[in-house]
Amino acid sequence: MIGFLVENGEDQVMVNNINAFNRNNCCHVFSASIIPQLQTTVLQRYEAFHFNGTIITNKFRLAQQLRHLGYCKKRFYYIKEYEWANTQMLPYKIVKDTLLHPSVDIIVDNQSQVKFIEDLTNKKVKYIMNNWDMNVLRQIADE
Amino acid sequence: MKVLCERIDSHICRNLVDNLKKIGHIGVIEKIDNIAKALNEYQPDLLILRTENISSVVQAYCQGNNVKLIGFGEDQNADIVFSKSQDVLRPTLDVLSFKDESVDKLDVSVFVEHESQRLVADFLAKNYNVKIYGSVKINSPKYLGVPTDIEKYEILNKSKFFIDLGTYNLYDAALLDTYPIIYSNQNMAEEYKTFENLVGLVEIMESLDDDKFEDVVTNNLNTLTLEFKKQNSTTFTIDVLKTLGFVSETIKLEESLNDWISC
Repeated sequence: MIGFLVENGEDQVMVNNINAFNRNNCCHVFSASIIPQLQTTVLQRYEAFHFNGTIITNKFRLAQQLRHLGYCKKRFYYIKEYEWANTQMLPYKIVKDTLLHPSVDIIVDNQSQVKFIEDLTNKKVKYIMNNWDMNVLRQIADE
Repeated sequence: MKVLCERIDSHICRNLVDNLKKIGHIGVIEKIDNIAKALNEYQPDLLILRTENISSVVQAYCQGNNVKLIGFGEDQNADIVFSKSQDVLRPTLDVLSFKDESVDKLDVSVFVEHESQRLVADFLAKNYNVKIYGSVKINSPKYLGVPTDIEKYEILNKSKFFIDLGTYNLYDAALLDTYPIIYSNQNMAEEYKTFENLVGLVEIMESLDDDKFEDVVTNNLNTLTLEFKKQNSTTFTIDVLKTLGFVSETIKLEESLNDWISC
């Protein structure tokens, strides 16, 4: 089962694809805000600590939680934008615990990001998922 | 051995205190006005002060109680005096305890600590596969934040090259088998690779993947490490203690040095 750790429902493509994915696959969304457009189980963000499936987040801020999710089988940080470059104050520890953490696998949005991210993290990019591509989500769920 | 020390912003003083900590107790004088009280209560074997704070009272106490005196400044009123011009950084072998040979050395790391280094860091971020760290934020996803001192050692451990823009980590880098590429317009030992401007930097960056350069780097790192094991902050402290006549303390420190050298 996939769990999506998200900030809010502002990304309409994400919401649509999660809804579509949920028609044939079971998934949960963990969010601090209510997202009425989602037609799946939306749980409080702290519930992710009890989740035992594969968890994906697309936010650098939320990626800081990933290594603490003790029960989940796989943790993915889906990099669409290089959000860490926009933070005002960035301790290296945060980067070490997210982007560079060995238990966090990386998904990128397009092929052009692969080399850059692999060079930066010294990790292989696991998936290229263009705009929450449902086919890739299915592959991740089947893993 | 009891050492009483004033807070002095000097490489030599830091080196001495760090090494003396291993073989004795260090007391720090916060207020120099209380020096007489501190001397009577602490009863040190060695006193480290700025030369301007070495009064006749202090000198008389040291002579009367066989206390050795190290001064920092220009007046020659102590057993050994270190002037500003002698204050150079020396390699510290303690950094070897952070060496991690299980980590693959892949990165080219740059530490940016001053605003004046931003231009070079920006240039490197735009054109090369580098990782940038430090208190000056660079607008690039290759900027990976502000590391603590311990994290700096972690970063050096996983770095193959370290571009030193003047943060003076070159000794630590070489001891951790990371080859330093140094921004400097002064003549340095031939084992170091230096650049004075962006043209020089580009030449070095273009040669990093060259096999010949790899051999040169390995040889240079070996030479530097051997040199650092012969001449470092501990050997310097040993020489100072010998000059002052601290025999048993010298032996203890030499034993500690041998442990590091055998690493």
